Amino acid sequence: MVFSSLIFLFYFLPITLVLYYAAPVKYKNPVLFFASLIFYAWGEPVYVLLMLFSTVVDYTHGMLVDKYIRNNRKDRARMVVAASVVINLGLLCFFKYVPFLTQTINQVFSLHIKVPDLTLPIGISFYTFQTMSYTIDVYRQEAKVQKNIISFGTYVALFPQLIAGPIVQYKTIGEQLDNRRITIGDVSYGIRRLIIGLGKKVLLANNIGLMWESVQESFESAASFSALTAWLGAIAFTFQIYFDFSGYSDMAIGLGRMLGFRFNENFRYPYQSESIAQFWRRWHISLGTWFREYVYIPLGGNRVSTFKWVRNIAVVWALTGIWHGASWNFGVWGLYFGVLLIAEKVFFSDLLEKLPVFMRRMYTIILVVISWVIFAFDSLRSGVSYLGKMFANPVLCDDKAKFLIGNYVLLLIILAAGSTDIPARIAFKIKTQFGEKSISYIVLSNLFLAAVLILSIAYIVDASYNPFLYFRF
Amino acid sequence: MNTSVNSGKCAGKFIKNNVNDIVSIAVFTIIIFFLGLCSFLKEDISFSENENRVLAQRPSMNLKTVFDGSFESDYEEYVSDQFAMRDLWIRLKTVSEMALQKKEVNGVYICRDNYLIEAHESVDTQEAYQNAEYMLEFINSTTGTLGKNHVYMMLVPTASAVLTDYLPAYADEFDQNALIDYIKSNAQDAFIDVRNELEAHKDEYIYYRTDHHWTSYGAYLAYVKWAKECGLDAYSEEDFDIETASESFLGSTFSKVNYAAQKDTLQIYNLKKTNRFGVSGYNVNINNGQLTTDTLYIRDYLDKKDKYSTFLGGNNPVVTIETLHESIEEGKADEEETEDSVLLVIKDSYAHSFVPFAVNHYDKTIMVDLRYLKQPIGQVIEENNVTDILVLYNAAGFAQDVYVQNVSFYK
Repeated sequence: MVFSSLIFLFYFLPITLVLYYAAPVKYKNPVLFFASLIFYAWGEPVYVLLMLFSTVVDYTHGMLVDKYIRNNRKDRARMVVAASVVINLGLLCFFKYVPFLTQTINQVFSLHIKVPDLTLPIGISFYTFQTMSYTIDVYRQEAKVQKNIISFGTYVALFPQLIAGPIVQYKTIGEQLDNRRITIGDVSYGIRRLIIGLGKKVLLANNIGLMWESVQESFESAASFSALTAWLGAIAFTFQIYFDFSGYSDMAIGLGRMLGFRFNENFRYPYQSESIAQFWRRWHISLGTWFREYVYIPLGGNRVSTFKWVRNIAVVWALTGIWHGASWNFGVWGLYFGVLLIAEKVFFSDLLEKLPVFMRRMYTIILVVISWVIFAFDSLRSGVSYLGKMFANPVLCDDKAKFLIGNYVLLLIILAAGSTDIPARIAFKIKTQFGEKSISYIVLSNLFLAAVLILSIAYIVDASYNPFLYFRF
Repeated sequence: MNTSVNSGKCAGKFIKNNVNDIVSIAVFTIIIFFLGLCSFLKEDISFSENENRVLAQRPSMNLKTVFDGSFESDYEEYVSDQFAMRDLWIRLKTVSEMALQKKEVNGVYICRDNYLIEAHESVDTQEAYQNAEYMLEFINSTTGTLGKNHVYMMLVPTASAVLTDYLPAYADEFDQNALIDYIKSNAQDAFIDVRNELEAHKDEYIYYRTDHHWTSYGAYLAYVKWAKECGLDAYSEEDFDIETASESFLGSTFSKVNYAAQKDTLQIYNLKKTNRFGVSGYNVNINNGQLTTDTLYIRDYLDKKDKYSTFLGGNNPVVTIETLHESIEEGKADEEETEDSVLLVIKDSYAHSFVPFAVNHYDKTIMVDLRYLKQPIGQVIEENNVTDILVLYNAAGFAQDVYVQNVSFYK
């Protein structure tokens, strides 16, 4: 089930919330757990068993780790952690990479091994990372062991973040699992975040997605394809992926809050970053944190020789790349950022600092736009050819580009402003101007919410185009 | 007593301190529950007149459909199709897109003067020219059997190729003129080019504002040209009583966007009782007896959404029209024993408003739609002793119609 569907908004959510709020405290987790299973099974009626398997594995492994730690048998505890990591990564690799690996082996060695016909279970990349983080955190004694399997199952299956993140580390919500209060402020904050996220996804991401789709169509078919069209397409995809994914994260955070959970933020205006390093501290924060805490720092981080540091960066970014999918373009995309991060730190950190803020932002966003082109095309060859159309194109402008600008100029302006902190600043200004408790502020802000919700419903009812980009991962 | 007063005070204070939160929760709850309940209680509709399609019904549930996921996706489709006030939501979406200055919504150009013109952007050019080849071959071989000047083809440009001044700037349209030029140059004398006629009258009402068809007047202009090329004596406008049959027509492009600032007028050209060739009436037979009537205009449709189907009853596999002449003519025919003239029209819906003019020049007219026709076209020609053929399509539809290839099985 996806959040931006009628079935979620008008069936699943109201029923779940009524049951959840009505249930006595000790039944709240069971209600949430079973609701989450239905949420997942709606889209994956069979693979829900896989998720339950992963849950049981880490529940038992967590118990074992805890037991060995308390018995001062760190060596055994470490073995158990290793087993958990192997099982989780094994699952992930089997479903995500085996088809790709067989294909590659067939190509390289001219073999004809049958490529297994596996569909990727929704959200597997997210929940395996979450369950792994639990066992590791217990080993590091950063999280308490969870003895109640329903509570643990609730953590893994929790429907707000189950299928597209954010990747909530166990230690973030471990306490809240067994002990949480829901205030009226939590519920209303959650509703606001949910509506804003829905609007970002349905009104903004889907609409600019149509422009990207139209550019892709002419890229694949048309003989003439101007540089301006190519840039417009790349910019459209840049906005689409941000509003799609950050909108989804907003909805997840909002829904979590309505249920009494506080997740960490996943995006912090990444497109106004002043360097690539900063970009990655603001984009998909939960993934970056995960790789930093469970890969980069254990490898030694940056407190090692330059050679090892470069190696660490390369490893982390290659992994980040292929986490997004089993094809070469994601690997190249990850390494592209790895190289940029190294270059930024080693060669031009001084130079960057001397530039005015505007120039630093332009530098960052242009490199980011290029990265999304690599990301967008499963085939590297298409991606490179698209970049060629952007940078080495004898045709600068054509009717297609002019038509797109005419059609999308207002939306593009809204998106450009919307991906910075300008809307938040305006909202804050209005709030302080009128006073948070004034009638005019209450009327104004709630009218805005109602308008976004109603418009979003209109777009969902007439939805011919409503993909979730991060579902593939 | 005391406690209740206290709790009353507390509640008042609580509300006062959290007004904004309460309002936000109320807004969300009311919208979700109101619409949810409306949709839940509303009776299911089986057919949407507006969208002209069958709506999804509640799917049945069994282990197999649940586990292969088809129940889930069917159910989502069902909820969406049966959602309360569906038409209103679609209109709201269009209006907001227009507010965003979008010139194209759901495959329709929003044009000046309240024109909603169908867009044809992603037409497969290869398929279009393949269709041209099929049809050229058909024309070539039927000309061989029926003789020269007995087989004609007309490819009508749609509004997006004629009302070009109305289109949004730089619209990336499929080049209908190139396709027409190509077929014209290959079919030569058999091709009837109506572009000049339409072009000359493009400031008049030759295309509907809210539908993808041409108006009766547009079809009339083409009829005059066709008659001239075939060596027939066309009726003039004075030979008809032109009747305004409806002023509230909202057609197919309206349905795609659910928005229109102006409704269309649908005109019917009734041939006057006394006319030059003594046409006295018609026997219309739709789908071999499914409906028989004595009129070319099925007026029941004027009360429905799909008003364009007034013309010969809309899309049907086969429609046969016998044209009756006054008894003097009949007697004369009996004496001379002339062979009946039979016109076969292979067509899409653009022909529906054209054929009512053409029938007056033949004893019998057969309209077939390759999209629905089960019989091989060769059999139709043989069984009905067809003497003349007209192929009539709109150019954009022809380019995308996968059934055009069925003419190649004609032998």
